[in-house]
This record gives sequence, C-alpha cells and structure tokens, in this order.
Amino acid sequence: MKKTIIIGIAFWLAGLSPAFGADNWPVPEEYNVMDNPVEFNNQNVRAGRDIYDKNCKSCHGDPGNYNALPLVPPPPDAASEIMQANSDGQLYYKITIGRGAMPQFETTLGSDDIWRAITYIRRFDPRNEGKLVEEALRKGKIYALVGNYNSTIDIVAEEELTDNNIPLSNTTIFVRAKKTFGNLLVGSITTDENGRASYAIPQDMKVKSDGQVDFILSLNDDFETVTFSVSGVQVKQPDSNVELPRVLWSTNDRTQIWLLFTYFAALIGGWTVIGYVILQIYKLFRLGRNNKP
Amino acid sequence: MIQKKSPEEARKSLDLIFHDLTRSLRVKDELSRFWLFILIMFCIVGVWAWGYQIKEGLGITGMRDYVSWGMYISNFVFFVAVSLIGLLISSIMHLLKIHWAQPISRVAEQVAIAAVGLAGLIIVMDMGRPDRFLNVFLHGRFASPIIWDVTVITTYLVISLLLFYLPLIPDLALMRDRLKGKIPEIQYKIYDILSLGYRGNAQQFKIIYHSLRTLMLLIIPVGLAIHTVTSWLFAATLRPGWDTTIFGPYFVAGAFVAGTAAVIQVMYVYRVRYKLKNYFNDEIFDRMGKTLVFVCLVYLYFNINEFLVPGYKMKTAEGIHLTELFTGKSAPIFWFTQIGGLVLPILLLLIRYFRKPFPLTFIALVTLVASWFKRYIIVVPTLEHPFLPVQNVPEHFVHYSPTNPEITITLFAFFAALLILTALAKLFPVITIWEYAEHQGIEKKIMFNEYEN
Repeated sequence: MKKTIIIGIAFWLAGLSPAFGADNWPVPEEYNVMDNPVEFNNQNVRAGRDIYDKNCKSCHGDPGNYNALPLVPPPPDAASEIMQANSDGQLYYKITIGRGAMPQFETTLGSDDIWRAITYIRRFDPRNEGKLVEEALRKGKIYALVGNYNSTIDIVAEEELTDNNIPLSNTTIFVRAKKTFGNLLVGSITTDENGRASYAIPQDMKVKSDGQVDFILSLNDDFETVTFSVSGVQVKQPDSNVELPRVLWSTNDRTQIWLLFTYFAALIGGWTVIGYVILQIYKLFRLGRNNKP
Repeated sequence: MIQKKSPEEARKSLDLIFHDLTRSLRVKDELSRFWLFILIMFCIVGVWAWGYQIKEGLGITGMRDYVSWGMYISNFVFFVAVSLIGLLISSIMHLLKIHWAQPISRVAEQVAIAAVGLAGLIIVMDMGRPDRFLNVFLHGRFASPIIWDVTVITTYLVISLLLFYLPLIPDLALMRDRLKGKIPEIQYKIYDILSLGYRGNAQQFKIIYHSLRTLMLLIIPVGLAIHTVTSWLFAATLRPGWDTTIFGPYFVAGAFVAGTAAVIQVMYVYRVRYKLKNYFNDEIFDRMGKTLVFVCLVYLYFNINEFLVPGYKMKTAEGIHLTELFTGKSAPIFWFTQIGGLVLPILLLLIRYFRKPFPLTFIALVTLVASWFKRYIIVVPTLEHPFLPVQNVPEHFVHYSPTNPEITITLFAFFAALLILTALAKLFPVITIWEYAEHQGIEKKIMFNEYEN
C-alpha cells in the first residue's frame, strides 16, 4: 500500500514536469473508434454542464473563457482546438484513465456521466454550431404555505403565459433548507394536474436550537430562476439543551472555563511575582538614596 | 571549603579580579571595531530585507499554501530553544548549589536575553501584516497556544532581564566606585544610576538575594512552559510527525542541547578575546562537556521514542513522512542532525581530550548547527506531507525552498543576537565579579566599605 502511494506520487510528480508533458497522448485503438452513446440535446448538455462544473471546471476553467489554472502542462480550455481535436472516444479515454496532473475519473464518475460531460464539451465544437435550439425559458411562479401543524409545505405552482396563468402540472419543485453556508437540498416533489403538491417536512431534520428552518422552493432549469421562501417554519419545539458544548479549542466565549481560569491564574500569578520583585528593586533604590554619603 | 583571605591579600586579589573581569569594557582595538562594523552592516541589510518583505508581502518568501511555516518558524523555535539555557544554568544549577556553574550564569543569562528577544522579533517578522501585531493582544483567543506562547515568551524575557540585572547591581556599584574618571562620563553616569546606590550593606544584599531566589523559582515553571507551549504549537495541530504526546519534554530536552552548545561558544570567545583563561578555565569546559553529553543523552532518548514508535507502525501518512526523513529528500539533513547533533557529541565528549576548550567548542559548534537544522526538519517536511492529497497545484506550492530575502532575514536574527551579546559584554562584566570574589574568599566588607567616603 505504502509503496503504491510513493510510486503514485512519483508518477504524479513526473507528470507535472514539462519534459513528460509533451503534446502527444497516445490512446489505445479500441477507444479511438468509440461513439458517444448519449444523445446531443439540451437536457444532456445541461446534465453534462453540472458534471463539468463539479469535476472539471476547477482546473479547465469556464469553456471559451480560457481561464484554466496555470499548470504545467496547461489544462486546455474545453472550447479550444486542442480539446475539440480529440474524438469522443479519445476524450473518454483521457477522462477515464487520466495522466499526470489530470486525475483518473474511472473511480469517481460513472461512464454515463463521463459521456454527458463529453456531450457538454461538444457543445463548444464549431461543427455543432446551431444544432441545439435553445428553447426560451418559461416563466413560472410558486406559492407555498405551511400546513397541517407545521408538518407539510403546501405548494401551488403556475406558469405565466402572455395573457393568463395556468396551473403547472407534473413539474419538479426542489425544496432546500437554508444553512449557515448555503442552501441544502432536502428533497423534491412533483406537482399534480392542478399544479399542487404537499411536501412532507422530514421529521429527522437537523435544526438550530430554536427549532426553526427557512425553506426555499425553486423550479428546474427550464424556467427562469424563480424561488419562493417559507421562513421560520417551526419544525421542532425549541430546545434550549441543543447548546454547543464548550470545547478546549474554541473561541473565548465557547472555550472551557477551567482553561480560561488556568490561563489567567498563571498569568496573574506570574506577573504578581514579577511585580513584587520590581517593588523590591524600587525598595533598593529608595534605600540607596537614603544611604547616600 | 573557601579559605578566608587576610585583608591585605584580599584587596590585592580583588584588584586583580576586577582588572581581569572589566577587560571586556576596555578592549577597543581594530578587531572589535571591525566586528561591530560587520554586525551592524548585516543587521542593516536584514532590516532592509524586512522592509522589502513588508512592502511586497510574504509572497517573496518560499512559503506557500502547504508549507506555510518555513525558515522563520524553524529559526523561532531554535532561538526559543537556545534561550532555555538561562533556566538550566542560572536557576536550576544555582538552586542545586552547583558551584562550578556560577561563573557562567551571566553568560547564560546574556544568551537567554539575546535569544528570547530575537525569538519574539522573528515572530513579528513572520507576520504578513506586522502593523496588526497588537490585535494578538486585543482580540486574542485564550484557547489558542499561540496566545499562550506570546504570553509566556514576554514573561520569560522580563524574568531573564531581571535575572541579569539583579546580580549586576553590586558589580555596577563596584564599577561606580572604581572606574570614576577612567571611563567616559556618560558610561559612568549609567553605572551610577543603575547601581541604585548600592553600598553592600546587609539590608541591601538581603533584598537582592531574596529577589534572586524568588525569580529563580519563578523561572522554572515559566521556562518549562515557554518551550512546552512552543511544542504545542505543533503538537496541537493534526499533522503527521507532529501528532505526538511527547513533544513537550522532547522540545525541552532539545533546548538544553542547543543552549549548552551556544553557551560553550560564547564562553570560548570570551576566554580568548578577553583573556579570561583563569576564569573560564579548563575545568568549567570539562564540566560543560559532560553537561552536553548528559543533555544529549536525554535528547537521544526522546528521539528514539519519537522515531522508533511511529516507525514501527508506519501508518499511511506517518509512513510517507518518515520514509522521506529516513531515506528520502530530507535524509541528509535528518541524519546530520541525528549523528552530528547527538551521536558524535555523545561519543567524542566521553573522551577527556575532546572536553578541552578548543575541541569542545568545535564539537559544540557542530551540535549547534545541527540543532538549527533539527528545527528545520521538525517544521518543514511535515508540512510537505499533509493528510489530504496534494493535487492540482503549481509545482512551487508542493516543495519549499527558502528565497534570498528570507535567508537574509533569518541571518539577521543571528547577527542581531550577536550584536546584543557584544553590547552586553562591552557594557557589563561577563562574570559576576562580587560572586566570584566572594567565592575566592574575599569578604563583602572589603569589596564595598573600603571605597565608602
């Protein structure tokens, strides 16, 4: 195990050096002829974009913006000629197996996801220009109320057309809970033919000591961004016992009392003794002045 | 047993001792001017480099995201370590009534003051925004070892200054009595003020003796705390190589090695430069050699614990780190610190010949250099091996190599410490005159009363 890691690090370091990173990256024959089984359509491109943003963007940057990380060898932009010169199969091989600083995604992504990511990369191929007709985003609206003694969120969704609003049926609504660092997806629900849905609030949710949660509802990407917040839902009874425990390494008001006590006792004790000695020196000074011949 | 001398003999003997021990104040030849010139030049260059670093930011150093503690922190730990010798020699050995160590207690205090003062300064130099230094005190987190370290270093510096000053008061009185007209007026004025009108009477001596005792007791917990807390800066962090429980005593033991080696250097220079052969005599060197063997043995014991136990288990991350130390890139430095800094001094200093002043000084110098690299080996390789994989970062983030301004600022600390030592030696006797004289059988009466008008 240890040896594998060391060899792995060595290879990885070798991969970082420019000498190793020449432009040709041989791809086995069987990969060259592979075809992308994923259809080139809006839905797959969108799915591929999510995968790309999560796994590739941190190094390769935003496609077309040429803002990749300055690594050696440089990770090519997804819209660049270098990237697009690869066949689908070659891209698949390079993503799956990796080399040097390019990680191996075999273990982290399923082949479907890899193909979707490739589909997204292909969106920037000049040959695919105009092939995808971007549908205009629809306009939706969500209303919600907390119902049934705080155990459900009752949702009504409708679509805004030019002249009137119609109920939005069979549409997924995403439910997120507001947390300290961003919104956590806690579930989703599909509307019925009347555009209504009733989301059951999970009872095992982690909540703050006041027992309240702010929910944020949103529609999927086919719609213009629209959210509706339901704030201060009393999911659980307020619990004053859910205080964070005092721990040694925390901030001044959260650290353990005995630590503060020890620190200040030592500080005051030590400096009292020093103060006493300085007082003695002052006494010496007074004595010396009185003794002056 | 000390033989009491007759007044006649005592007076003669005191004159000789006083003459010898104030020689450092009088030496003003080409060499000392040149030495001062070199020190001041290097200090100016160091301060200039620091100014450059403040202007350009810490980016001009080799420190990056992974290795964020480099040479500065290694240097800081080294200086804190060296300063601990003040505790060993001027407190513990005094309290244990180990008489041979008395003449070197002032040297030990000089070294302690210079080292701990610089340690504090190095921390400020390692700050990206030194102008915000006061925030450490204003908004410090009392649960953080960094705050403990700041507190305890400040306390130790003050105690060291007091421990240097208190035994100096009778010496200052001696100089005030005997050097009028022989030294520049301003220098005389300084001695006069600092001596606090000391006349050697029982009441005055009692106050000094009593205060000294109090400080010697106080410095023991503070001194142990200063280096234990410094070790906690590392041990309280979850890192391979630092995640160990023996770091406190391990650092304290290492500190005594570095400090003893440093004091031997200073002793030797004083012995040769100020012709103090009879004071820093062969016996003291011999015993310091034995002390060095002893502290090295203790430190070796901790080193074996520190490396054998994790080396036996070779847990994943720990294993990578240790392999790097034993056989990898850091192996040359690692084995130099272990062999040059521990095994060789232990083996060589068992032989009487090598405990003679010059060979001992040379061996101690190697030990001292190894001690510095030992701190480097504690700080840097660990940071190069975090628990999480290092991925997708530029090459220069992964490995640490100090830059020129960084090395200049590090060297500054050494030259500044030597400058402090030089200044102290030029202003005050390097051995406590009254204590030494008393040990030679000269009564306090003769030292002070005689000159009373």
